[in-house]
Amino acid sequence: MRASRLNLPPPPHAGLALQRYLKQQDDENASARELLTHIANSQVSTVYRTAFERWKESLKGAIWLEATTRTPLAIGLGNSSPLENGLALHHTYGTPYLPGSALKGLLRRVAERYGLTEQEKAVLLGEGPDPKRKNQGNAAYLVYWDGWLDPASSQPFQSDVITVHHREYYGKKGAVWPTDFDDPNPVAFLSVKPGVKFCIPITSPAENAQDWPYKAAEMLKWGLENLGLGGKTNAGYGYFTVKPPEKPKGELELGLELLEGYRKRIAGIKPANERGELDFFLRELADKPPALRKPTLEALKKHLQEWKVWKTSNPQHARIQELLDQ
Amino acid sequence: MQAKMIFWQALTPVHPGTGQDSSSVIDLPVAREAATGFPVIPASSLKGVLRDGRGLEKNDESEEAAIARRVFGYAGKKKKSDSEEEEDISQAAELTLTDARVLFLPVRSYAGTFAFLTCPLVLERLKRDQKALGLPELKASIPNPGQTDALLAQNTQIVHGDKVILEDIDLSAKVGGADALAQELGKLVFGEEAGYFVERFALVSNDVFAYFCEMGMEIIARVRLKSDTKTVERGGLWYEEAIPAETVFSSFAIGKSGFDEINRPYIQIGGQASVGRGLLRRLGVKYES
Repeated sequence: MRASRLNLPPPPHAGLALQRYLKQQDDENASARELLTHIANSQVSTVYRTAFERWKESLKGAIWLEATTRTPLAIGLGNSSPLENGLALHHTYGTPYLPGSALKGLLRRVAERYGLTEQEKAVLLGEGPDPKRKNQGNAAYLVYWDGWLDPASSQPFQSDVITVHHREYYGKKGAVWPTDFDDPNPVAFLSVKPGVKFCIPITSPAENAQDWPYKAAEMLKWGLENLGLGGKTNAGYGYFTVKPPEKPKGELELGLELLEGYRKRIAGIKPANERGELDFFLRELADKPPALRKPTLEALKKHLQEWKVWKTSNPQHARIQELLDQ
Repeated sequence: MQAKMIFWQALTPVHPGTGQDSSSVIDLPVAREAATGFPVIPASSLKGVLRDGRGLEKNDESEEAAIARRVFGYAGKKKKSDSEEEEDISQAAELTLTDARVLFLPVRSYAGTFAFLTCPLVLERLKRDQKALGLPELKASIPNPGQTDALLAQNTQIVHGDKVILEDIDLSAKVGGADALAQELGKLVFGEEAGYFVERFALVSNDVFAYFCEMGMEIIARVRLKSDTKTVERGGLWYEEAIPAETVFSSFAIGKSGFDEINRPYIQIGGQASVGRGLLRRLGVKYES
């Protein structure tokens, strides 16, 4: 750090503070802890809020996962920082984020467990060229964007600590015994605290492949909840609760919903009101797409059959059959 | 002949790659102009993204393919419909695109989160190109900042004390030193959003700008993990460089037709696309001539 800055408190930009404003390295790690406490107390900047809105606007066609940290998150520990332990921080805004490459890497691990075929993996993750050069490989068909911090989580950081109890033992790779007399060495680092929300968009540039992002989102949700993201997952870091994207309903689901609304009315069809009720249903269903009206028509037919009046010579019954066959 | 000036803003980091570079600690650097060292998005990248593969299929006879070939050009032959002979259907593009050059570079700042840096060289070049293409030129004069000065707008957010403190360089703040310029550029490039730009505008010397073009890029460490052990594979650590989010680029489109092709609010460009790099928004097509 430059001497002229020694009297300045660290800036609100967390990345800048972490990389450039550590006062000194001391044995007690006092200045490191001071710096981290400062960052943990800093707020997300207002310029980030507008940038977030702009970014969200630009990815309108994407499907969105909302992932909230359930445990602390330590991602990008290897990023360069004078504290030895870094964190994935957005270069321009200094906010924590989930790198798209980490999400894609997590998806690759999930894909191993889901038992996907090679072709499915090639679509979701891309495929390297094979060594014999027979196949050139292909890029992934989906885009895994960085997950941005929801600005509502305005204080995302916490000052964290990892304590090495047997420095000699680890440093000399086991040549010295670990004993109870060793001095513990607490190392301060920065992590994202639990309860912080990130928005993760996934897009598919191909127009006729809109089911794939949902598939990827489902797998990613499972990975974020069960495998964890980033470092120290075996120590409980990096687990999320995920709100998956709402998939637009298919015709089959909509058809079942339609039937659900009519179920009572169908059960109420009796000899006395049969003609009028069937008229009503035929009128209602005639314009609906075949897949949508099918469950209701089948239920009508079944009701009439159970009641043993189903006859194709009846013009209304014949019309039901006709609509079913279309 | 028409010319349009187009501004793009990076919403995510952009990686217009040059392939591997063994001479640097950065494994995958971004493309830079040879003479200045400023990062650049080559025109060929822009053109490729805008074309999006249309009209490259030899046997494609559709209307869309014909338009794409006229606007973006084509090299190839096709069989004549009435005989076995082939005819040459190559044609040059009617639309010319220029490299998208850095106009404003975001640099992390002690105050105001980040500053939008530019320098006289960048603005003089823009002015020269505007003149050559018959577009209205920047009106405000371009002052020449000293080596340790930052000329700012009147209404600025990036000053602490009497300094602009960027990464590891401290500059003396000249508040209002480039107010007219900041206002004009804000209006030209950002329109209604000019406020947040003007507050962060800093005109610095060419040397300072060049320094941040060299050292102020985003460096992203990437690792490849072994799936079973979750440890890094041998040789699976590399460093990528990217032009940071918020950077504003300027480019020109020149030609007879095909300007509709640029009318897109967003494009994705450059390398590492599947992990979300290279999302640009267009800041408005300005000034026809």
